[in-house]
Amino acid sequence: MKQVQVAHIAKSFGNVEAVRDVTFEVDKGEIFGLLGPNGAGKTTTIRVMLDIFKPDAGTVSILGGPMSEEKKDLIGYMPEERGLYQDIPLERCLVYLATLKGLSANDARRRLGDYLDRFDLLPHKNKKVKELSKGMQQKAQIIAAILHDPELVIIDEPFTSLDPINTQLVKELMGELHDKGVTIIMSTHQMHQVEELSDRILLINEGKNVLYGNLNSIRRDYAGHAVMIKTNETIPDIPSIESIVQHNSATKLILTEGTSPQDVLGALVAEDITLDKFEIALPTLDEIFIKVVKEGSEENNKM
Amino acid sequence: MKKTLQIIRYELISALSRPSFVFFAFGVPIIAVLGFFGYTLIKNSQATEKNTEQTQEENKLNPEGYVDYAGLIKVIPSDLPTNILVPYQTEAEAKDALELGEIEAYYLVPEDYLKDGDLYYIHPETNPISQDGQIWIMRWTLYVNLLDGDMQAASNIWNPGNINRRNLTLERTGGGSLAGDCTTPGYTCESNALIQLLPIGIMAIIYISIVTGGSYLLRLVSSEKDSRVMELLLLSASPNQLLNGKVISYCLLGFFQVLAWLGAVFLILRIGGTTLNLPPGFEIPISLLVWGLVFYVLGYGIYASMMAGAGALTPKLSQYTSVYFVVSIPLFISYFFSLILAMRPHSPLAVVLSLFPLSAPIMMITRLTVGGVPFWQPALAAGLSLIMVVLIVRAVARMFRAQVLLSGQPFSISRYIKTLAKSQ
Repeated sequence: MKQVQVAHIAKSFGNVEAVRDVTFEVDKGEIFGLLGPNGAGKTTTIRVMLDIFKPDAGTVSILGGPMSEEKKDLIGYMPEERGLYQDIPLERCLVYLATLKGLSANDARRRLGDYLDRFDLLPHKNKKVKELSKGMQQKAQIIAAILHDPELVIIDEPFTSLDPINTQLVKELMGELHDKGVTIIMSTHQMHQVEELSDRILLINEGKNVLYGNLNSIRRDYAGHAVMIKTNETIPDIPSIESIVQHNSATKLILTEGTSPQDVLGALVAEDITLDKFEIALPTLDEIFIKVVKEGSEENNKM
Repeated sequence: MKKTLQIIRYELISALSRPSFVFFAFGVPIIAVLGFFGYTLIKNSQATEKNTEQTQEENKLNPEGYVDYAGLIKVIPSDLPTNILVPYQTEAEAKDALELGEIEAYYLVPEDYLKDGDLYYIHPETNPISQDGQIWIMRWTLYVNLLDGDMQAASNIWNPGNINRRNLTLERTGGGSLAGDCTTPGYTCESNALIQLLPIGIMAIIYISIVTGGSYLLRLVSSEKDSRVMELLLLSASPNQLLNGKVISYCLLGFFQVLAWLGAVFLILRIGGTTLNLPPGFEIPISLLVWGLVFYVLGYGIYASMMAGAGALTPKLSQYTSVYFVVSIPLFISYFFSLILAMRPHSPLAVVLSLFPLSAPIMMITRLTVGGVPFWQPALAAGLSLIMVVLIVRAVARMFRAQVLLSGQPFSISRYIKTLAKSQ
């Protein structure tokens, strides 16, 4: 079942086209990555999706139809930054936001205690939000988005201001939500975080779809002429290898034009090289993104 | 409805947790009442001392003599101390008594007193202040004797009319007069400016409360937009629930604030009846308090909603002050007019302004405080204001859409009016 269906949406503010043409679907229970550089239109896309903005064009279906007051209680949303009352104690702020999502104050308080404990925020529950560090506020925002057990969670830049330990904590939490069948849409410009968590992605740039689909398929599609090998032996001169790049404990072999991975494997075996590992070198999302954006710019320049 | 109640509850708790709000709304009137109570105690104790001194002074009233060549004085009024006026047959006798210190001064009533009205006061001192110290005793005696000893008639002439003034449609619950008021010979009477200032005072309370309540609301909406909490709120409740919750909660807070302030005024007037030299039985009529609260709620509904609408169009919290000023202009103008028209409360302009919803909350209260307003006028004004509240709340609720709230466009009066009109 599709939890979200966005079709050809566009949204402008005055003369600025924030979103030109974005289309995607999100399946129930998946972690979907909405990627793009700053200013690509991710946040506007989310706001249109959540009916905060009406689109100038296109359609949105969320949880099986248009947004309604009832559906609001089934959705958890974490805006990119801030989004909490600054001048009130943390606990009161989070309990209030949870009660607006249909939770009773007692239930909200009980669930909140567990999350605050888990995120090391329990000693700070009576502090005003503005007295907390950025990282603490970020964790509090994540709690606000999930406290009412939503079916669909949309989080905008979830790892901003988090140290590695808390980043890992949030990743674990998202994994748990995923296991419980919660659908998660994660918007970020930190591609490597998405690579770890997402099943499928949409990469947008300048308000338009650039890449969309299964993450592994995309990486395979963008896999260049390169293989990753692991060996303890010195690699001999093989004509089909253009260059050799050391890549942590492995070695990346860049192949010449017209050479297939099978050709190189055959050549290495023929040289009697013992291989611990041989695999097609898949590009990182960062590499794909840079390539796609460059190609896009070149096309624009040609036009 | 449940979410509206939750919003109301949250806003009430938040406001009541702010020391500045609590102090202004409830602390100030409590301090005013306590302060006034203390002042009254001090003044009363001083008055007691003064009264004691006055009594001693009265006991010390020195005997004076008189020579009545006109043959007018037959009796000495019974309310005067005995032997305060000593009769002498001739001026020589009186002069001797003065020299011997038996009397402090003497009066000479000439034979043709009734024709000329001249009366002579002979005393040894030259101090101009003490010269008139006891002269009222002789005047009072002459009044009584000119009226053949009729003290009631003399009293009526002394204080002709005995007018019972009813300022501000105030209800006199007690009869009689207080000792020391204008009706008793021998005392002076102070004019009471407080009564005349009361309409302006009550109107100022309503004005301040509407202005502060509206300003809190504008600031709240601007700050929620600024902090992006608004996005979460819009994803949790409908624009109507948000607006209604906020307007109702701040209206309730303002209501209790006005109640506290009016209560303080009421208490001060009760405590300070004599301290402030108010007329006996002076009190604010309940009907005035009820109308005051009705027009406060209606005025608040109009202006707070308008402020919330302005807040919805204000992209940055830093612009709050200028936006607040623009929206409160009609209220300020009606406040200004009410100051001018308080002395002419039934002029055509005052009547029209008291019926017009944007100025009614202030003008009608001013007129009602002065009194003499026919019932249909406040009733009509309340009806018109109610219609205005419904229209504005409906328009602002439509403005409370994310599209407007998060647009980020700068605030301008033309955009505000256009959006308000489009939302109807």
